[in-house]
Amino acid sequence: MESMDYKKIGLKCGIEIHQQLDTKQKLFCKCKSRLAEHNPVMEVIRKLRPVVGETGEIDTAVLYETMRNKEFHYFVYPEESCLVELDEEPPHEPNPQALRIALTIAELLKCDIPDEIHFMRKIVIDGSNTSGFQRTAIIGLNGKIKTSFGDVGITNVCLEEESCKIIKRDENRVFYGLDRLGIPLVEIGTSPDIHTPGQAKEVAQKLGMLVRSTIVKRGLGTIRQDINVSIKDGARVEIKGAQDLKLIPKLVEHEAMRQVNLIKIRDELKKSGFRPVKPKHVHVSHIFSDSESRITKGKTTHALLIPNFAGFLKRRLTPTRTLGNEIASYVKAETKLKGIIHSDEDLSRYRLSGEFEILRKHLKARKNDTLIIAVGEEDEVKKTMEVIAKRINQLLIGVPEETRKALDNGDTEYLRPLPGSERMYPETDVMPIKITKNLLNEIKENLPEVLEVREKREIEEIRKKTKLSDELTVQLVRMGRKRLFDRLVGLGYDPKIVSTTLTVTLRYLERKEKVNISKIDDRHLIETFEALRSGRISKEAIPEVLKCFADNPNETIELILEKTGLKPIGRDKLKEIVKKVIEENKNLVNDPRGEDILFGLVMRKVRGRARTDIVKAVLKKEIKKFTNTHTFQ
Amino acid sequence: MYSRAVERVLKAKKIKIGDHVILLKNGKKYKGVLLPKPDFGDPDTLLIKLDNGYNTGFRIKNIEIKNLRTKEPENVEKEVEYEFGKIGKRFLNVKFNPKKPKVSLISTGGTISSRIDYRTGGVYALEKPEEILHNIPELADIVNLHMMSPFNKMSEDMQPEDWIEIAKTIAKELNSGKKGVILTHGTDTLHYTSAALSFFLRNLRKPVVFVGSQRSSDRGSSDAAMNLVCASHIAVSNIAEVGICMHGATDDKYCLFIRGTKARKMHSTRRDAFRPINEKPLAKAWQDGTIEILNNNFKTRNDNEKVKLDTRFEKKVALLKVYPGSDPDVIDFYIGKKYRGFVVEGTGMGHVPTFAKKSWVEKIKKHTKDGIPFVITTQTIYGRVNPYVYTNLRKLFLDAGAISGEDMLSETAYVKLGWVLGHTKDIKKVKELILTNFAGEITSRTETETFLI
Repeated sequence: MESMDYKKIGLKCGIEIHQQLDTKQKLFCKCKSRLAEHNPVMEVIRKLRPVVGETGEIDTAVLYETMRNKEFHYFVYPEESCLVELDEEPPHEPNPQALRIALTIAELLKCDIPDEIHFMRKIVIDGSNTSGFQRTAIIGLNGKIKTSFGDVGITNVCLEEESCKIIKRDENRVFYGLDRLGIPLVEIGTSPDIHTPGQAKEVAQKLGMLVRSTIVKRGLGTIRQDINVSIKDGARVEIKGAQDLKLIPKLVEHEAMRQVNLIKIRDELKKSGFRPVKPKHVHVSHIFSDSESRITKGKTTHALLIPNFAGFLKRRLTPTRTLGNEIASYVKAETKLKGIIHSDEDLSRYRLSGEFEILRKHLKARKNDTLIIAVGEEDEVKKTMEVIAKRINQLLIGVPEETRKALDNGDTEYLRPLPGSERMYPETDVMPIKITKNLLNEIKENLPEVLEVREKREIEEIRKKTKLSDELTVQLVRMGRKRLFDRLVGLGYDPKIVSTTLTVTLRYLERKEKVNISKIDDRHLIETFEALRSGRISKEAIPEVLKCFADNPNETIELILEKTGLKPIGRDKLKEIVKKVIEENKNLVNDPRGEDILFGLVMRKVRGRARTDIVKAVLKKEIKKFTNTHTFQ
Repeated sequence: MYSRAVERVLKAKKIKIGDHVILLKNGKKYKGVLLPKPDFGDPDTLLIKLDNGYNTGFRIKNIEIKNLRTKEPENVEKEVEYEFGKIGKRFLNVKFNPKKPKVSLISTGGTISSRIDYRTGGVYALEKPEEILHNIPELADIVNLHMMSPFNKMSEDMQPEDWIEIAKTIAKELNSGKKGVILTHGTDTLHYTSAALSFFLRNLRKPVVFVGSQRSSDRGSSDAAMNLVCASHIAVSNIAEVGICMHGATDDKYCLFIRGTKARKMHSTRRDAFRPINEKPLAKAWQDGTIEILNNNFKTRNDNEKVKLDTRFEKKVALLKVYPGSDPDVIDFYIGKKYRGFVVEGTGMGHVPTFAKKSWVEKIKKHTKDGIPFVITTQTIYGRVNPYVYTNLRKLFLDAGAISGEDMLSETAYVKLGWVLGHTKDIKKVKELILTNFAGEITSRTETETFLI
């Protein structure tokens, strides 16, 4: 597909980021503000009901019925949840530390700060909040962030409570963890000032850097980005769940492409006089139930005929997605069916070519007509046909407003209709907070150095002092470990080994060995490096020692070395090993490089458990003994 | 309320609460609706609902305000309407089926019949009792509800006169052919009212079900709906008792139906706050209509019988609590105010300070002689008063003439003493009536599995 002229298509894009703050306690109670590591101690079952004015487009009665069958199960963790999370106690006063961090972020983004902060209840009835709403307040308005292409407006900075973490779900039940509920969260929304995919990435990156220069949580799931994309004549589409920054440009590019192609399809359909279809479908199980295809054999099959639509379903919307895929994703999201089969695809794959021929004759379909079948329970199939007809008819308006889910390949998939403006009403259990001049001045005077600036400075500092590779330097700084590095190097440990340990080793332990590296503290590192310096362990033993420390954070190095089998071996034992190695390699004794090779062989056996200088001394002595006894034989 | 300074500015600019306004702050513009000021917060700060739905405050000194004189965007208009208490017409209209059993729903106030009041920041009573039902259409499958509301009061404001008025309404409803009565009530003093009604409604042979809620019905997580559904099942059941029907656990799974004289609010905020004391709950009720009887000690339905009202009540009764350092002279204060009887919540098995100046025994003895009854209950909540284990206490009951409250809850004993004194002031007769079991308020034996349930 040709590259797009974003200016011409009028691409507009806004970003919304949600970042968890790193406070000790939660936003509205004194629970530990972290994800639980232990198993839940209790499970509480609740239901939610639609409330007055809840519904937008959806009919109240319908919503009521769906909610009636939904059951929410909440896992209770003793340290990370209390009666507040369970909606059994009103919220406590908002966490002042969280408020300060949010104000700091709003100040860094040059926002207007309201004189009085009012918490609101934003109605959410998917069960992710036990109360049926999320508490949220505007902390800043009308800010901006500098980028390479000019200022991007910040519409709002909000302080809110994080929702429950979804653990599993089945048809009528959703299981949530209460540990995440109530962790303070800052939401930042930009104006639609972004006009290219590259700019979207830059803004997301800049916002990420800015929030990370304050006290925020790090790691998977602690930051979430949503992207709003629209083009001229298209519609606002919200893309949820872009975890990886690198994916953002592609998501924007593909969404723009999808909208361009949907508009093209609209224009073609209009020109060809395409008329909206009715979900009139025919029961055709008799054609399909005897087929050799496992998909339709013995099942209920309905068919829908769409006149003058041949070829459209195989039209590509993005390089890897066709309109057929797109419609199937609506079916997947809104019915229990997994997808559809249609005459624009290769039917031999399903071994249904013959059946479709019969179907064509049966329905007196012309060559120009498209046939779609859906297989499943009667009710679901009927519903599916309605979903398909509705989506096909939407082609005539072009791009429907909706929420889509980011996929790993940069494509997106239909998730749900775009929520109407969210219903909000005042949270009367939380008193308004007056923002005083004193507080604001204090925040302004203590603004942190923006991460971007700090990183540059830190990289420079390391470069001046040491000869680390650029890659290691950047990693150290990016991972926020410069201060620790300085401390360890200050204690006299080798910069190269320290930096490698703090970056490569720790990351290896976390990702490959699944070690909880947050348990490793400064003392562990110092004791490990000290053991290395004194020759009690070798460089290679570092990962194992640290892993053992992470599992036993209260132990001293002595016990760790014992546990890992890295406890130094005594001189007698060492002598024995050396003797044995010499015995097994007699021929090397008189070799000019023999001593070095023998040293290597001994070290292979005692690495990490004996100091190299001692090994060398013992080896020298034993070689001498050996030659003395053997020469005069 | 806004300050005078704010009012002056608004008046000068001809801006009213609810107008769509534009604010200028540091050269930036904010559009929204001017909201009334709740009675908390800074009176010099304007409260604005911004066009994005959020409320936020702007100090009058920091901004310039102008009336936009345009209609607000539709969504904002709806929000404001909602906040001003005009509920949209979108809520479900519950239509009752005349073929279902007739049950009266008497609404008296409390969280269950209130919603958020934007102006005060608290809650206010629903204007129409029907609003309680807006999101509980399944009630129509169980009962044919007739709504009424004799008055609307928060629980903490309830008075003995109100109990009498409720009793009259209930008797009228039951004696005109209703299968049962559901009564919605604030939770704080719900167990006082349920105790009072247990004594007032004589010859009761139909269910009288009290329901409250701990989470207001404007939230999706409200407990009101499930409590009302379960209460409806109880109201048409065979259990002809006055009782409280609310969440049995923190889960939205089942409700407990607890005898009106044996129930107590044991938690300030939890859904399952009401617990049975010294007795098993009468039944467990599920939303699907299943009722599991847990305690067979109840009267059964007889629709041919009529309720007889007996609401004579002496209001000059006080409930006192002793504690280390408590001063028995408070009794004299009440006597001076012409109080006619006392419930004293003693420690442990029903003890009161016995030593020297702070001795309650002497004081009780003196007034008892003058014909003032003292009923002793325990502040341990669970268990029975026992007057004979300690020597000093024998004095209280044998010499001083105090009346043992047995295993009655203090709250129930207080209501009962008022009711008894409404009938007789003769201290011997009072003692006899207090020790007579009228409404399951005294259990002669305490079953083992009744503690902390």
